[in-house]
Amino acid sequence: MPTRLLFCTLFGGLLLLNACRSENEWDTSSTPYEPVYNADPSTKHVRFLAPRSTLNGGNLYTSGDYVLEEEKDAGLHVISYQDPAHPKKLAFISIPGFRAAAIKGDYLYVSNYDDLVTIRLNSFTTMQEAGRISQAWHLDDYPPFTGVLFECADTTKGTIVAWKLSEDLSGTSVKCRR
Amino acid sequence: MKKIYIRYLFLLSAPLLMSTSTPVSVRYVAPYKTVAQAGIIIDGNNLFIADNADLVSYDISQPATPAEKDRQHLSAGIDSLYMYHQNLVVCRDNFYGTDVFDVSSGAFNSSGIYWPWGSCNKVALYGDKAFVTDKPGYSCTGENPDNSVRIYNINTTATPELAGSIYMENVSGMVATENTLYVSNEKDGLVVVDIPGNTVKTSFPARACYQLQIAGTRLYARTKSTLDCYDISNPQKPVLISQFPN
Repeated sequence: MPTRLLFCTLFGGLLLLNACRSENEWDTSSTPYEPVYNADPSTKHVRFLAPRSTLNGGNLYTSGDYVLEEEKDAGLHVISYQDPAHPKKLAFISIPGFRAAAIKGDYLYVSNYDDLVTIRLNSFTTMQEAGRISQAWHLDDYPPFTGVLFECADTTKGTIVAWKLSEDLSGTSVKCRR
Repeated sequence: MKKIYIRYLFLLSAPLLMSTSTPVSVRYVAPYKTVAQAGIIIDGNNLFIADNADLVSYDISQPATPAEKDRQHLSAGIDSLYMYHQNLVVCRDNFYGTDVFDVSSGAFNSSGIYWPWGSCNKVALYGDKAFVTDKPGYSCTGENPDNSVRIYNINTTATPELAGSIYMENVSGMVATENTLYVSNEKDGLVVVDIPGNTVKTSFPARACYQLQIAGTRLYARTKSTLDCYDISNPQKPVLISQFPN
């Protein structure tokens, strides 16, 4: 019995010792992750603006003769292809933090940072925001990967809407790891 | 006493066997993880999103006011979603496969079906076929670049069957119809492939694009400087109608 106790004590002690890592045992040469916050309430706002140039075009969504083209992180260009040889931009839907959209009938569903917003299209002439679900999306306060270094989350800075690799930070400067 | 001594030596060696002091090599799966990354999927009166590791469905029978209907927690962050015959196909950050949920009721019922591709792949579905290739920007399995578009028959949902593959490197855009695959990369431009014959029917070498979308008899293609529109009334002989500058 004392022998078993000795073994258990030793084994437990070894496990505890093994759990302790010094700062130098992590690969601090790897690029850390950095949280992207959204703290500005004015960004939770969809606006219908005049057409503008496409700078960073992305995903395409279609509805009849209309194409909605993603402007990354910024919104959607509304383009009429009623005359396909002469397409025409009709408007720009400004959606800060835009990532995803889907269309059903007269309604467009979009992400506005972490909110899910419903937009009534009204044949693309008088679009209007029809509904909003706040914080339909969430991200944890740590990156979705293991074995990584990251800048510790600070909830006073706002809601975390993304995790990005940060070339500007050095591994030795960040305090959190997973 | 000898036995005890051997056990003691074994215990001393345990830290060496279990040590985690050597850092786990970081596998960069995606450069950027954001909310809404998996997109928004609509099927009938149901809207689906991935809220981190939760699948969430909304009833949109009142379109302006979606109402949460069901929520299912999975074990890892969800990376992409798409629909196939009232099945919600879910890729998670486990990199090794794809779960298929029966969502015909709007709730999530796991079918127990697992498809052999995952977060690392770009996927296009048409009819009973799945077109699968590497997803640009991902490096889940650096030693296994596809260099091809694999075609699976998925009509027997439980057992997707590899039906063939089309050689194509570094695919940037891909969309399919019944017999025609439109696929693009920087080197070859936009390429039109006859699927049954596995042959290139035509190509537009100077029209490399990175987003493709079909609507009726039109194919829209985003290039670096223009949004192109093709008439695909004859699917394998697209006619370029317009190049709309940025």
